[in-house]
Amino acid sequence: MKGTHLGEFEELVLLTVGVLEDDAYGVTVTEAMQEQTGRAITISTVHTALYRLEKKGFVSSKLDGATKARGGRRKRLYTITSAGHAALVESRGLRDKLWGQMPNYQFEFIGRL
Amino acid sequence: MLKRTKSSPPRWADLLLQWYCSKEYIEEIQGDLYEWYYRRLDRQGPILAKALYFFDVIRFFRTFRLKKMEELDSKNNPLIMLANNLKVGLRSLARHRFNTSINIAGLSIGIACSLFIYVYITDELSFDRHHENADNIFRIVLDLKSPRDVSHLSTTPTALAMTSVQELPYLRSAVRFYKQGQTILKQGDNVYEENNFYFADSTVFDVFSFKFVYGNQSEALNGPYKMVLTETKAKKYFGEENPVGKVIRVDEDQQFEITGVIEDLPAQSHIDIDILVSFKTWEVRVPGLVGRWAPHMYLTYFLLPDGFDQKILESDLKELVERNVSLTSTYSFEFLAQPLVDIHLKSNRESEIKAGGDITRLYILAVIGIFILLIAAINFINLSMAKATIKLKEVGVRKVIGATRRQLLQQFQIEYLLISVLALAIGFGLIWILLPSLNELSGKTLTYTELLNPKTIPFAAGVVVAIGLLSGAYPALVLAAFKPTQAITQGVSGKTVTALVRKGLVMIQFAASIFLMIGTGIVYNQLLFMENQDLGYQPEQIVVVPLHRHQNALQDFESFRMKLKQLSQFDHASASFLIPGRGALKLSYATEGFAENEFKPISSWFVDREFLATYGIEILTGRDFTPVGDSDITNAVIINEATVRSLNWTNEEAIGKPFTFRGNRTIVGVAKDFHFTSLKDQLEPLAIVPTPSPFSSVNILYVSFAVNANQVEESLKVAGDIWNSVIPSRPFDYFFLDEDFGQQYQAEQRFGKTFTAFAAVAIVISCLGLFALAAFTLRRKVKEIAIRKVMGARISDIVRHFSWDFLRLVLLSNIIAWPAAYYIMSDWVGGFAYQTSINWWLFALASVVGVLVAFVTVMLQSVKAANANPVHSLREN
Repeated sequence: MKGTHLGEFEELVLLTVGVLEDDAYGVTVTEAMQEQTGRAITISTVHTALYRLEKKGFVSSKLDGATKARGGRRKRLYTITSAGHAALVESRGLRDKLWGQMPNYQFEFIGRL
Repeated sequence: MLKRTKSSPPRWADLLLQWYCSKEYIEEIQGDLYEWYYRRLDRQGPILAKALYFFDVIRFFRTFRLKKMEELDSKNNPLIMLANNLKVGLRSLARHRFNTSINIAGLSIGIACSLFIYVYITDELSFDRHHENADNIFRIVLDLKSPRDVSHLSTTPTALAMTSVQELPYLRSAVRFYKQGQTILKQGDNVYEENNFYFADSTVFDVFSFKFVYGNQSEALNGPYKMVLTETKAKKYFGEENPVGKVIRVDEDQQFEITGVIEDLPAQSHIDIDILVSFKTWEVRVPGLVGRWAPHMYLTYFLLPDGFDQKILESDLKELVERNVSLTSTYSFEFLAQPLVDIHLKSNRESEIKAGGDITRLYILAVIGIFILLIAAINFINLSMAKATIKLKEVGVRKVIGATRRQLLQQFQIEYLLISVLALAIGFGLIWILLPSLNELSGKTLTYTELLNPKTIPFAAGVVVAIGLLSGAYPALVLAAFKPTQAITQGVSGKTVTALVRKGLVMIQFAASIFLMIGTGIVYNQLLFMENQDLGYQPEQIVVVPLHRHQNALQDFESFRMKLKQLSQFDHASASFLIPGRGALKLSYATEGFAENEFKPISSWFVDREFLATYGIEILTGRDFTPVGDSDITNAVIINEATVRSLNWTNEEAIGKPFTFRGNRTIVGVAKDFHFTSLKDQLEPLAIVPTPSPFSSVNILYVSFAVNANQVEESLKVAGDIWNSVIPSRPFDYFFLDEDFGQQYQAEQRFGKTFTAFAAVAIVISCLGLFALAAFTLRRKVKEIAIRKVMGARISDIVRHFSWDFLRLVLLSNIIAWPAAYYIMSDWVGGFAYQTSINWWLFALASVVGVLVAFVTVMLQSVKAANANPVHSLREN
């Protein structure tokens, strides 16, 4: 397995997969991320990120759930693994730690502006 | 599956996705894209949704999603099949050894020939391209027009370059040359005669790219009496040491300082410089001749800016002439610009430096090369097709097992490519061995490096692959198209399209061979005609000794003549400026009936008064020059019949007419026309003028005398002894006039030999093919022959029956060959002023030879087949 570092975009994708529970696949993840972040996110980037996450062991996948709108093709449905969950927690912990170290005056300064 | 409707995702984008995407990913991606598309369709409308769909397909393009190697052709592994096909191909070649060897022999000879022709043609086309500025150098030539005719000169007056440099601002540089021809050079005790001795302006190195080995180009020719040698000449005079600063004496009286050594000029050069001396020397030597608009005896080259239109230059030169030249006669000048790179092949003007190439000859050679290759390729196709018919069963079985059309095609193509690659290797081997003889044949000095240069190899490889693929294509397609049941059950089908094509190809083959034979005949006929043409004198009896300028040369010659004439076997001896075959001076004359100041150009010969008697040239009317007294020298001229005809006189009328030619003369005689130039050129008007002091303006005189045909050796010995006793300082280097004159046809003779060689190759390859084809066909008809014999057919009947099948084709091929040969060869013959008619019997002869050779080839085979014991043939499975 390659490195298990979690990039910013990957972290967002991983979080979205967690949020969507049983219905996380390319289209829903992209849609949810577009709504939540307001960014223009393309479906191919999401796909690539999902493959990468699977390679790192943060998500697992199965093929299921063909619908008419998909021309009868199955979806690759993703669920978050415990390793993925741990990675999210670790990433959040790191942020919290850094947040705690940030001096307050920085915000005051920004706020006055 | 979703039904495809108008609002479906764009099909072509979908296909693109399916084309690149591995099956591992395709399902989920396509599904997501469809879903995404329909969402967009609602929100953004079909046009945008379709466009975005395409962009998404593009965005999904990642290397990890590409199809894997094994997905590309799921049915087989091409590498394994390739190895298998190679093995099967080699086996098949080995099994049909006879067929294979004929194929390879024919093809390799064909490849060797066409490769040589290709290299030859590239060599001819590469003339003068080695100069850096080749595309911007132009030679300026002169059309000298009188009211009656035009002389196309390759030379120009000295003033042209001088005036142009001053008046045409765009001219980058200009250089003049004067070729002195035979010159005696002396260094220490070494005395040599040099033929390629040039005077040149110092700008020569700006215009042309000569590489300096020693010396400095800016100072090399910038003053009088400076000399630059080529490397070869430098070695000849000075050995390996640097000769710069040393001295060479020219014509005994002038000392030249060596200021540089340049690399030898490549053979692909229209100008043949060995020694360059500064033009300033010429200006010092003949001060009155420089800077004038006459005489026209200098070569002039201009260097123009990139892409300059030569038409502009020509029209500027026209105006320049109008501004600067005040002609007193009715001549007019027109200067034309010739691109340097065209001179060798396209220019054929008066006094060219080297006999040029001939573009027609190149075209004909190219045609020959293509023909030979075509003949070899046809052998290949025919034999492959014939072989294909016995492969039908194999094809059937392969198809039943599941071979696709493409796999079958591949299999056959590989077999054919194998043959052509083998043939290429052998072809290269052949040309490697034959190169020295081919060089001799063609008069080229091609080297192995030229043969293997980066341009030749792609050509050869291209030819081979093309032959392999194209020749293989037809049989392969025919075979692969068979239905398996047909292929297995139907034995060999005789009357198919295949047979018709095969016959057509044999016809083309023999048409090409017969064409080449007719061509050979016509070339030789023309050469023979020129050799046997009555020149108006007996060149085989005339011996010529060049005599170089030296002190008292004239007195020496006179005493040689006197002593020679004391012997009974010599009647006359003569000294002249020129001899037949070495050109003539173009000068101008006027005579009765011309307007005031009207002049006409005429070829002129300065000879002594015994010349016509020595050469045995007949005087038709009037008299020969009188050998004694001075009056003829200043007053007389003899003209040839062509001059009389050009003036619309009769021979009798001409006698006594005034003739203004370097003073006022009178026509005293009319000489019978004799060929003083080669038979390639029309016989022109000629003025023969006696001259008192031959050495006043030339460096060399030709001493001629006639020898008796019965005692050539003896006479030469006697004459040599006299020469050596009278003129010991000059060697008795004699030659026979007929040999010297014949040198002019060297190119044609070579062409004839080349033509013959290639025609022979062509017919040999054709016959090889026919031989193999006949053998093959007859082997398949063994049973038919046996049954015919059992039924009572005689051997002669059988032979006739089967030979006729092939002979018919050869006979028919004449229909193609005759008109093609007539058309192309009359173009070649048309280049000669004196031409034989193209005889019908040459055509008949070529056809008879073709038919005969084909007949013998086929007959050998059919006699063998007919003689076989029918019992054996029928019992055989």
